[in-house]
Amino acid sequence: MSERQSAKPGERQFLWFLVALSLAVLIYAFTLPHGNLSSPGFFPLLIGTLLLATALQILWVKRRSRGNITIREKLRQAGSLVFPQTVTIFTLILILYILLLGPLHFIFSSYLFLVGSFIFLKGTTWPRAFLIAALVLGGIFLLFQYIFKVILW
Amino acid sequence: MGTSLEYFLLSFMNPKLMLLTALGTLSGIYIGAIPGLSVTMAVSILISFTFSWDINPALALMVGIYVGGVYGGSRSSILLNIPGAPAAVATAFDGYPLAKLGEAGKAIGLSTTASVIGGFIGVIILALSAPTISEYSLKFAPRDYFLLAIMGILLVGSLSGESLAKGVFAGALGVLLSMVGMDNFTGQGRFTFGSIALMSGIHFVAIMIGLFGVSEALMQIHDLHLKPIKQDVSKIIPSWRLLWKHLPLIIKSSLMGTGVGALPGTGGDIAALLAYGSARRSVKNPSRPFGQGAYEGVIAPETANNAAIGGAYIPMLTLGIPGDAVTAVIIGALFIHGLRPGPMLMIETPHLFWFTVGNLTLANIFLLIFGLTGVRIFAKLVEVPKGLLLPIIIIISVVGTYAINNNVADVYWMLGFGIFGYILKVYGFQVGPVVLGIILGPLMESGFRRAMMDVQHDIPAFFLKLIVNPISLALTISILVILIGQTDIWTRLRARIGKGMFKKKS
Repeated sequence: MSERQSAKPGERQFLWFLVALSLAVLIYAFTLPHGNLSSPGFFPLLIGTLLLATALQILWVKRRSRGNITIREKLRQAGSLVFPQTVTIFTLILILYILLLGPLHFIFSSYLFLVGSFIFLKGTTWPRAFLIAALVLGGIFLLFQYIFKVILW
Repeated sequence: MGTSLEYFLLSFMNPKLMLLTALGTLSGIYIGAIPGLSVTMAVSILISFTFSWDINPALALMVGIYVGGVYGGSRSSILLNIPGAPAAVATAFDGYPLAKLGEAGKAIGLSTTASVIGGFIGVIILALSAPTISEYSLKFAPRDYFLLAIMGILLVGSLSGESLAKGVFAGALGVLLSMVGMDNFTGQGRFTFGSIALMSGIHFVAIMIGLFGVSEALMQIHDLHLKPIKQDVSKIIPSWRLLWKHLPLIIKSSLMGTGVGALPGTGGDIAALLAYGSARRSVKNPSRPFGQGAYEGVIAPETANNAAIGGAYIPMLTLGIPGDAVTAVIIGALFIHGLRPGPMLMIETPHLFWFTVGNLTLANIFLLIFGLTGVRIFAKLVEVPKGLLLPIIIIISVVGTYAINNNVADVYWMLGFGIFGYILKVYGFQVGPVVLGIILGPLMESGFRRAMMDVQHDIPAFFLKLIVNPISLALTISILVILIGQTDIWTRLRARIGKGMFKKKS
């Protein structure tokens, strides 16, 4: 169970983040009333402890070092595993889309997102991207507005 | 009895319900088959759209998608060697070699009939066992629900991921998320950080859509340009002789699938893998060696994963404990419609139980029809480029999340959990236990707190009750077995027993 395993690039850093998160949960849980076993703070304390214990256990198992690599190299490897270029750009497009949902409203921002993503992910050619995005959005609008009665803003 | 039969036949008699079940099953097959779309994702998104519907039509659509989706994964496993759903992973082991031998059609036909028979057996077991279990579960004390919830999270943690610790961490994370907001017992704000918006908690549908929809879409970008291989799908319907020959395997895998599905926290994926492993060990003369296109390698997992559906409904309807991630989401849907799954559901709303049983039966009939037809069109559709599919998944996820409260803030939560879930997946954490934790969290906490109040906060008295009460004792032993099964003690013990037997033989 505690056999050493080598971690994926960036995994140990992520596990340290989870340890910190669990610790924060535990500290917060201490601020809640926890006088007796059925008080509102006791169960969060239990869960916080469980989170911390399991995060530390995973970290312990993954303690094997991946050789003598510089921090720069570690960051590069972690980056290419978790956020390779395509994932990074698509995530940024996604974040931008969600942020623009408020000011531009659903139809216009979704159309821009669909066209941009189709072209970026090489799903289709430029002219087709505009056409397919319009058809998809039209279909979604009709389906959700009239069948599922979702008011699209 | 007459009323039960009426409710059983409701979806057969009502054209709208029948149509929704058919539509659900058909879409489920495609959703399950298209890699990147999962049943859990579809059902989670669907909850938000069916808020305003009556419970029966909403359930009819969800049941259809569930049944069709679990089966649909096998199609892309056979045709593309890409399991469309986790439950179809084992099908690819022999399904794809069969396709390479030019027998894709036969493999699809076998997987369809095996799935339907497995599905029927699962439903029969559900119909026969649930009323008895439900009656028995009235004897469950709060501590038993606490133990059952722990068992669910431990099982899903130990069986679905690369390590128990990662599974338990994910489950605990879900429980933590379920605690955000006002405490149900005292009204105390927890993990709200002074924000009024957080007092009502984070909507679990937003979290689910983020974890299953957005994170899966991001994962799929890793193998964006994987080219599918075209297959021949002519002969579909399997011969009676072939089915008759494999009937014992079908029945055995169905029973195994239903049993595994009924365990809290486990689902079709585990059932299929276990049934495949068992067939590999027990079938003496397979049609071909396993891994090289054995019919038995398609029949066993496909029967088991659809039989697991009926199994998964047993703890869900009788105890309020989800059998797998999809039933966890369906429990959410029942909550939204003002129903509370558990022993009282069977007593207060028995019609819902018989309606579900009837609906599952109808969905299996539609599965047989749709499963054996339209395979040629289907083979083209599953080849939709991911570059087109993934942005559409995102748009539907956004609409689904927004529909919960007509609030963009929920969409922000969905995005956050989507990205976090993606990183978790990259590092080998499963997101299923997180959702299970969210659903089981309130049950676990209230069970624990009520149990503590029962014993006036006396911990030794609590532990004594775990031993004295037979139900609690059985559950405690099960939890200990799961825990010990994950440790070195168990491995050493097995090795020692094995050595002892070897010595005796020699």
